[in-house]
Amino acid sequence: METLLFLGGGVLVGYLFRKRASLQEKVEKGISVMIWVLLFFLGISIGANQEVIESIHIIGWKAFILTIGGIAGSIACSYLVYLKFFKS
Amino acid sequence: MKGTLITLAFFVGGCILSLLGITPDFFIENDLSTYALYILMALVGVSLGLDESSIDILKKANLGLVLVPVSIGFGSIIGAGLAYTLIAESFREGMAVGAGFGYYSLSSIYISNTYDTTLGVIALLSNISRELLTLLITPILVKRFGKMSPIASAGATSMDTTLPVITQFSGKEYALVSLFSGIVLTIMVPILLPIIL
Repeated sequence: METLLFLGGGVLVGYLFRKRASLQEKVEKGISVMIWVLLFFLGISIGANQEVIESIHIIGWKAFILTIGGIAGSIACSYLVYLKFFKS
Repeated sequence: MKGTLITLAFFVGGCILSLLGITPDFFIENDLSTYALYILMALVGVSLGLDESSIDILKKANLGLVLVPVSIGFGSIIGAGLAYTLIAESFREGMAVGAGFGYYSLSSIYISNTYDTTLGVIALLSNISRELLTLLITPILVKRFGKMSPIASAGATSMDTTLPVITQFSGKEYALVSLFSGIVLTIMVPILLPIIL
């Protein structure tokens, strides 16, 4: 939950500096770098986690089920919006 | 695509180093990733605050347009939750993975750092395959379920990686819808995940 404080604080700081357009590029570069660092860390903890390594086929299958569920659910719900507001 | 590959290379690189047993204990003993997550969240916030174009695009919003990302987000979260319940897993964990909306880096990082590493990996695989699957099946989706369906399937990625294929098959008139939906869903990922988990 405390991550929301960081997110909200960031939005505030960004809003205060919104006239400095040159900042956006630097911030986005910073986001990419932090994502690389964190995924590298995640990779390290996965490699050290026997449980994950041994059950990778089960994990892959679960992930696939979730993908299908998420896609199907979002298509179904947005189809109602499509019929009501978009389809001509 | 190139960006995705570089990002994945860091993950795979970490896995390989760790499997070979050549990572310094320093990384594992110190909880650096929590601080890195805080920095990342703050930067994501700054980038949102700086971005006046996302405020401009919101001004164009009407009810129909706003309901697009709302319905997609709701359907994705509930759909993933239900699917996970069907295979006898936790509804809430399913909802959390579904709330990644294809934004695989942030969602997997958040889940693995604040909740559970295994679920983080599931979120990584699931949300990457959402992006890849959308790129593959967009022509079929448009034929079967109409022009909105690839935008739904794409989730947060409809603002960048899947935008070209969506405009190609749904038509240019859906480009703005696609951008708007992707932007809103991207903003919602770091807000919804802490609420769900």
